[in-house]
Amino acid sequence: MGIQVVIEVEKKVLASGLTVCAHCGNDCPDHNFAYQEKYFCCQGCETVYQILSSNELCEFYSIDQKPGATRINARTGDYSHLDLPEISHQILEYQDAEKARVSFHLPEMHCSSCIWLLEQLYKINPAITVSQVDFGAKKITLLYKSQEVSLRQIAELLDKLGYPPDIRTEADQLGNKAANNVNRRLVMQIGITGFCFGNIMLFSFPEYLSLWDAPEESATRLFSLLNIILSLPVLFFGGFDYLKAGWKAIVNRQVNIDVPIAIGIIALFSWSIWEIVSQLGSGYLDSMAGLIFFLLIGKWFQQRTYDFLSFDRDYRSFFPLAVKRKTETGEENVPIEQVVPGDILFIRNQDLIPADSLLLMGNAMVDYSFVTGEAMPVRASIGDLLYAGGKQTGGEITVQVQKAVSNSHLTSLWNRDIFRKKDEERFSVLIDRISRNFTFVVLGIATLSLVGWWVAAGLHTALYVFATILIVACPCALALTAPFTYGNSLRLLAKAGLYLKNGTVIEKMAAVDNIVLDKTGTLTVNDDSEVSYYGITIENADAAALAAVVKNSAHPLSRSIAKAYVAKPDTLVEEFKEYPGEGVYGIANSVELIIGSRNLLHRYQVTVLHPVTNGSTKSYLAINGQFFGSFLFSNRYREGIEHTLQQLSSQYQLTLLSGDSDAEEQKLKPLLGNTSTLLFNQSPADKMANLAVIQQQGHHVLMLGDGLNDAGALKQSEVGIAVADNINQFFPASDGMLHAQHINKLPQFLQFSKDNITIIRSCLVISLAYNVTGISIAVAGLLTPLIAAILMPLSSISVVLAVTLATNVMARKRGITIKS
Amino acid sequence: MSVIIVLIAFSMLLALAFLGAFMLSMRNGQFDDTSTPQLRMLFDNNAPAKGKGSKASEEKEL
Repeated sequence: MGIQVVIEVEKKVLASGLTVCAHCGNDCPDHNFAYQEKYFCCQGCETVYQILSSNELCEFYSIDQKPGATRINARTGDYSHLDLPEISHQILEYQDAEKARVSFHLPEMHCSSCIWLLEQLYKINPAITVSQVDFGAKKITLLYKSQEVSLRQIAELLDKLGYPPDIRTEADQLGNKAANNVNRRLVMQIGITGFCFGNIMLFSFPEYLSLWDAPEESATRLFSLLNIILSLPVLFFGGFDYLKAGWKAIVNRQVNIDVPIAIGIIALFSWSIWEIVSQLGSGYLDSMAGLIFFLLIGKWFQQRTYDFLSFDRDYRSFFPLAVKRKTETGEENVPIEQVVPGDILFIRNQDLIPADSLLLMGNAMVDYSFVTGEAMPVRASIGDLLYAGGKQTGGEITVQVQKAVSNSHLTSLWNRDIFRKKDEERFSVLIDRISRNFTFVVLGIATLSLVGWWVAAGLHTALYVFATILIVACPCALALTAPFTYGNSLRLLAKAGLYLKNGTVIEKMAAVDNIVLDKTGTLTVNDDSEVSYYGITIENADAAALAAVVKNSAHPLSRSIAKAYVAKPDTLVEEFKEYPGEGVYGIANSVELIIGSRNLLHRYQVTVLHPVTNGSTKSYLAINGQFFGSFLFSNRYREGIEHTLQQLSSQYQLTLLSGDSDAEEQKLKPLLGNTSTLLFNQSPADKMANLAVIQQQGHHVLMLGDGLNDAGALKQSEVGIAVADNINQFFPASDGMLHAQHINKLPQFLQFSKDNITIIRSCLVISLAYNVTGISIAVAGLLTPLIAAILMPLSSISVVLAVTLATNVMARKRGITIKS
Repeated sequence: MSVIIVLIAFSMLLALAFLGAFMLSMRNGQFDDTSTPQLRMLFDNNAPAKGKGSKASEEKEL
């Protein structure tokens, strides 16, 4: 994608005699970077090694295999904006006169060596007093002496070590903190409920075994009273959320799964208290504690999410925190929110344009692939309007801001209502629908039995039967089916490369009948294109020189050419010059090469003999002052995508909404099937509108997209899935994230989501069977505490085992998990 | 019979002490991160650098 440098540690078998980089383990044929008799592939790797060795931290290399990530394409970040108090206040968690605490998200953290090194930062800079890593969240928390080291210096140190911090503002961090607090509360509820459950069981044990034949009244009374005391925290702390949810549902006149659960809990508690107080028996408090305990475990199981992924990010997490603004004397950093129309900004190579602006100076070559879907960088001339979100690839440019950041062409998308409304949806629509019918049936049976027994045997027996029906009808197994099915499936899918936000998404996926696709970055690879060469045949020696020269450039087109030709390890690049937005010039092994635009060739007195006249992206090549030919670039599709699209088109209606031109329509149409619709030159708002049209026809839509231009459509769709090459990369707000290399498994994922629904339906039959058995016993007036104590856990555990087993088997059958 | 009551009183006290310990550690955030400690405990603390005894003693002071 090129937004973040993709780190690839290639697992090549190295031929003997080749040198590998002492830091990252990549092969480095040229010995350009050497330090203490060790060789490095690039300056970045050498710097990391120097810092580590001078601080005696080389143990880093012995803890885990291949701990170092290559720095060859890394770009040293600019953290000067961290000196601004407005920004540092937003980032710091705590600050006083002497010390400060900060947390950074470090996406590059990947192994135990990383933990070791990052927790030894005090050896490199003693002003850092505490550094603690949370590996699951890829987060580091630092405590430092703010008089001796600045926030900026810390960020720069982390960057230099190969862990560029992904700096987020307060708003992003708040979300994380809230999730953390919810999790803490849930674990606390489980702990306390579990404690009470265990002890209540212990005190109920004599009752189970009918040990109280002897008139040991005092002990029975004591145990029952202890049980009441122990059940209070269970009811008011552990079960609080269920009672609240049930009450809320009744107030809103909706009957969902929470209602029968809340009724069951209340029936259990009040009947037990009545029995104990009136000395009729010892109640069912053990069943109540067990029920709440299992429910909480189910909640915990489905709530465990991926700490390192955030599914709710908007453009602000993609844009820089601050930009460089021109002042009378020079330049200053200014927070992005304070940029106003009329400001003059400096945008460097690889920086984002934060707001719609006019180009004042410099060679602008703007990569809009992430914001509009246009695959190739666009050249702009002085006076052109550049849109916010575009990335400059070339030299520094000067621009004048036309609109505020939040009102720019792209970012204004987020001002729409759809981004404001917070989706508070039910966990499982399927379960809610079933439990609505279930609740009415149970209440009906209970009322009938109440009346029947009242007539036959008096009020006391009638109340007993009424209460016990409500107790055994409590749909514990029903309530556990969905959390455990979805929870387990989420985990299996994540292992296969699809990270979903929550279990509801699986249910929605199963209902999808329409799939909308984006082209650039989703079906195609963003930072790579298909290269074809037309012209005089390039000799092997020249090809090696060509590869060696273009390898030095980070421009996407150069990288594509570099992939097409093999560089020989001993090729020496004698001269290299990059003309931003125009091309490269270089001499390697005494071969002079010019690759670039017509203008660039002219500058070296080379005439383009056969100019390419159709609109495609091209580069011309000249070798030793002679015109050779031209490179033409076209989109490179992801491997195996044809087959995947064919599979999908047989089951789903496909639509393509692309921001790019229609140059590839002929190629795409047969892949997507005859009934498919292909629309090109779609703006972000068009995509959203066209998707809404499909929904209005009553279809359920899954949107597959990658860029900010898909953000609206991802939000609008029933299931929005973002495709990303790398899990560390930014992706817009969505319901799930699909690792691009697993995109071909999409048909299997969709099939698996349907399997999930089948599994849930069949387990509902099992749990209903338990309920029917229980209710029959209760209607007959035969329910004893012992039967209740057995029935409740038995039904729950068997359902949990059944769904876990079934999801694992289906995942294997669909090829989602591979049998080892 | 009173033996049981005494034993129960003691067992409850003991169990409550553990519950208290759990709540305390929960509040301190011991359960927030469950993946790092298992890796961290494998590192050797302050392994002295080879052949540089003087440095090793300095490290101890840190």
